[in-house]
Amino acid sequence: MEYPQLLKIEYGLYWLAVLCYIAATILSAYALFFKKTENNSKGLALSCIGMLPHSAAIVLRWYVSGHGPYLNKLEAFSSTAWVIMATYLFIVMKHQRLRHLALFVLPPTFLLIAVGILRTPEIEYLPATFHTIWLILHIFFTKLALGAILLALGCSILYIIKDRKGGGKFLQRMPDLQELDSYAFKFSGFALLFWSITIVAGAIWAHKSWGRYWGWDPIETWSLVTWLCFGLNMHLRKFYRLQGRKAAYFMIACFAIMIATLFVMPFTTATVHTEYLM
Amino acid sequence: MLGFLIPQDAFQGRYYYDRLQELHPALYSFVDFFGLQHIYSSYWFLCLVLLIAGSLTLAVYEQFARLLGAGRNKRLIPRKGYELCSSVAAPIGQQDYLEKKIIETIKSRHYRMTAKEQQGNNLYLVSIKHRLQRFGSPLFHAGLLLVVCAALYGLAFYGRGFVQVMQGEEIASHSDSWLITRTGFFSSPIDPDFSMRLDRLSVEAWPDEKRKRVESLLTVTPEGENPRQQAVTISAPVKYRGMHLFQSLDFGMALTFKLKTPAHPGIVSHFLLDDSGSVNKALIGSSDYPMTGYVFDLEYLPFIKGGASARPEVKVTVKKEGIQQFQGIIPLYGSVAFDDNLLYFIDIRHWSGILAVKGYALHLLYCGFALVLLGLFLLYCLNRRKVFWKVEKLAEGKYAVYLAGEADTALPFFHTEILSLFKELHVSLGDSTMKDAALFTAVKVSAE
Repeated sequence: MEYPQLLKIEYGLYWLAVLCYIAATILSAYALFFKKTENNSKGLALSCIGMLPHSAAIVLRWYVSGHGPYLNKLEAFSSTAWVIMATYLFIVMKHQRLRHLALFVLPPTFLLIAVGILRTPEIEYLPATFHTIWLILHIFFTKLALGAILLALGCSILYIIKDRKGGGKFLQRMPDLQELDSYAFKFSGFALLFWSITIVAGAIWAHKSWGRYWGWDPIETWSLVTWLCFGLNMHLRKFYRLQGRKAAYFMIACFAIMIATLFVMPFTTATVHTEYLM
Repeated sequence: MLGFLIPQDAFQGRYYYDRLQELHPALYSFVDFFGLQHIYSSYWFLCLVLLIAGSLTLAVYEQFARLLGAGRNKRLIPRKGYELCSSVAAPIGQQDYLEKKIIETIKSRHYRMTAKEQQGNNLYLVSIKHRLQRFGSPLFHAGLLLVVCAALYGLAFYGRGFVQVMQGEEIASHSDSWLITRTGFFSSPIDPDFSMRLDRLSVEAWPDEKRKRVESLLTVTPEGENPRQQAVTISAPVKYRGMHLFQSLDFGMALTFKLKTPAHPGIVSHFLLDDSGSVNKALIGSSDYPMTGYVFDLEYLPFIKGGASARPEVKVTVKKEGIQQFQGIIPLYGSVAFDDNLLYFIDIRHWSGILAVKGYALHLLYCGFALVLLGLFLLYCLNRRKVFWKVEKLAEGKYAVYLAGEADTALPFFHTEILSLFKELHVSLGDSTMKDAALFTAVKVSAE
C-alpha cells in the first residue's frame, strides 16, 4: 500500500478514536449528572473501543515512520493521549469508584489527538541524536507522569466540589472526602516518581548526546521547578500532614506548572525541545 | 527562575551584555556584581547550593540516626489502643489453631509477622507490610546529596575541550589544537596524553537527506603504547583514559587551497565548511586567507560534479577591503588567476568535531539518581502498615480478638483492608455468617 493511503487510514482511525472518546465523555457526564448508572458502563466500554483505533493509528505510524511516536506534534500528542487513557483504564479496572474521573481524562485526550491531527501530520525521520533507549524512557515517563497527575487533579477538583457543596445527589456517588484525598496523594506520588525518571533519563540522554547532563535549558529549568513543586506537595502531605482542601489547591497549582512546562514553554521559548515538537 | 527570566551568556551570547554595558553602564555594573548574566555559576548561587548540600547532609544524618535508634529502642508491641473487634468461639478450643489462622490470613495479604509475645492470658502479634518504606526518606535524601555533590565536583573540576580534525590529520598529544570551551574553578584545560587521527568520517542520511548517523573512526595512540582504533558515534561516547570522547554535531568538508602571490611562493590554507544538514544543500563558509588580506566566500555543492572531469567544484568569491576581486568556479585540482595571484584548489576531505569531557563525577551522579528514584518509590509508592493483634483468652475454648492498626498515609484504604482482614479470619475459622459484622466498623486505624 502506498504511503499517502496509509496516512489516510491513519487519520481515519484517529478521528474514529476522537468520536468514540467524545461519545464516552457525553455518556459519562449523562451518567453522573442524571444518575443513569448503566451509561457509565457504556461510557467505559466506548473508551475501551476508542482505544482500539487509537492504538491501531499509533502502531500504523510507527510502522510507516520506523520510529516511536515522539517526533512531531501529532505523534507526541496522540501518544500522550494514549498513555493517559491507558493509565485511566488501568486504574478504573482496579478502582471502579474512580470511573467518574472520565470527565477529567477524556476531554484532554480527544483534544490532544484533534490538535495533533490539525497541526503536523507529516512523518519525519529520526535525528541522529535520537537513537538511544534513554530518549524512549524520557518520553514514556513524561506521559505516564501526565496521566498520573491528571487523575490526581481529577480527585483534587472533586474533593473541592464535594467539600464545598456537601452531599449533593451526584456527589454522593463519588468516593468520600478522605478517600479522594488519599487517591490524590497516591497518584501524586506516582507522578513525582515518573517525573523524576523523566528528568534522570533526560539528563543521561543529554550527557550522551552533548557531553553535559544539565545545561539550564529553559525546559530543563522548568522541569526542575515542576519537580520541586511536586516534591514540596508530597513533602508537606507526608511530613506536615497537609491534606484536605489546601492540599487539593496545591495540587491544582502543581498541575498548572506542569502544563506550562509541557505545553507552553516548548512553544514559546527557544529550547532544544522545540525543534522536535514544532 | 531568575536564570530563565534574565538572558544568560550561555544562551544569548556575550553580545547582549556588551550592548548593555555600552548603553546602560550602571545597570550593567549591577548585573555584573551579582553575576546575573551567568546566574548558575555566580557566587551567591553556589552558596545556595552549598547550603542545600549542608542541609541535606544534616537531614541524611538525622534520618539514618533515627532509623537505627528506632530499631534499638522502640517497643514493638503496644499494650494499649486496641479496639475489640470480635469475640471468637474457637471450635476446637486451641489458641495455637487461632494463631495459625491469624498468621495465614495476614500472609495472604502480604503482611509479615515481626513479633510475637505471650503475656499471661494475652497473646500479642505484630504484622507489617511494606516495612522497607521507612528507608525511603533517608535514601531519597542521600541520593539528592550525592547528586548535589556530583554537581559541585563537576563545577570545580570539569573540563571540556573541542577539536576539529581533518580526515588523515593527526592531533598530537598535549596539542594546543584543543579549543578550551570551559573548565571548572580548579581544573586544568583538556590536555590528552594521547594523539588522535581521524581515519574516516561516515555520514548516513535518511531519504529526506537529514542526518541519520554520524561516526568518526579514530586511531588513538597513548604515549609509549600501541595505537588502537576507536569509533565515536553521536549519542554513543567512548570513555578513554579518564575522558569521554563525543562525536560532535559539528562536522563537514575541509577544502584546501594554495595561493601563489608575487610575495610568496605558496600559502596553503584549509577552509572548514560546516555540514548543511542535507545532502542537497550547499556547504557555505567565509574566512580570511592568512597573510594576504583576502576574504574568501566559499560555496561547495557536493552533489554537483564538474563536466567531463567529474570532479567536485567550489564557487569562490574573493574580496579585499570589501571590494570583490574574483568570483568563479574552481574544480578540484584546478586553478584560477586573479590580481597577479594564482589560486589552486588542491584537496577536499571530511573534517569532524570531537568533544572531550572530563571530571563530571558521573559515577557519583548516577548512584545519586538511582538512590533518589529508589527512595521516592519506597517513600510514596509504598504505604507501610502495621497491624497489631491481641488474642485474649476469656474462658476455655473462647477467645476475644482485638485489633489495632498504624499507617502514615491513605488511612481509608488501610481501614478497608483491616476490615477485610478480619472478615477473612472469620471465614477461615468457619464462621461465614459474620454475626459480629457490626463490630468491624469499630476498628480504628491511627496515624503513625
